[in-house]
Amino acid sequence: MPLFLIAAQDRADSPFNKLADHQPVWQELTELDDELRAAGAFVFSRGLQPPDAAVTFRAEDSGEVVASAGPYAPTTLGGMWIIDVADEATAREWARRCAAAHRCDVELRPFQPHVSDYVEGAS
Amino acid sequence: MTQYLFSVVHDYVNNPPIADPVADAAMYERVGAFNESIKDQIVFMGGLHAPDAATTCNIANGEAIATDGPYTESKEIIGGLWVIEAATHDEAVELGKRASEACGGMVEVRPFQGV
Repeated sequence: MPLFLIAAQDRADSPFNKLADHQPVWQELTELDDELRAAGAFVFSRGLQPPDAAVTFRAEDSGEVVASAGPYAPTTLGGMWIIDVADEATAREWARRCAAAHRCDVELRPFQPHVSDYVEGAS
Repeated sequence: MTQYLFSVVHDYVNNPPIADPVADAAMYERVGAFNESIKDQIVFMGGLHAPDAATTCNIANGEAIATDGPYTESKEIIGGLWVIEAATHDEAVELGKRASEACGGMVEVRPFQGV
């Protein structure tokens, strides 16, 4: 079945970031993961540490790889789900659910079909 | 063990998507060897379709409205990813360097939150 990335966007002015109490969101996200599992769609979900925890590697023309602290560019990526569903319509419905539960924008993007030999149960 | 996101950053404006196992055979071979060498640490890996295959859901008034297209118009965006487990930050950084060498491109290493 096709795999999809649902990327949570941690924008400063998102509804999530305007909430005083995030506990109800964490609860809903836990329930959403349970629903994804029950539907056989769950592959992965987790939040990321802040972008300043990143290290970026660039391959120079010489072939040498150079490290620098921080993300490659300013980013709003805050976490992600990876789901395994029958079709794009189903993926879009889960993406909408993720955005509503997390109170943030999300981007849905399909993986190429020949992805992962490392994912149990994935095609 | 901490999980790390390795984002492969691709310039879709100036370079075509990497999705040709023949033209990119050497890269596929290097990445395959890298994967094989750390297969017990790979939680997930996959290449993404080009950004024009993306759908964005914007949240407003509790409703998520879907529109076609990527979230950002940036030239360089994620083209694929690994989720990798590493015992230490230093190990993750070293693996990130090897991932960049294997795919011949930019790789950003960023830790996930704990459970």
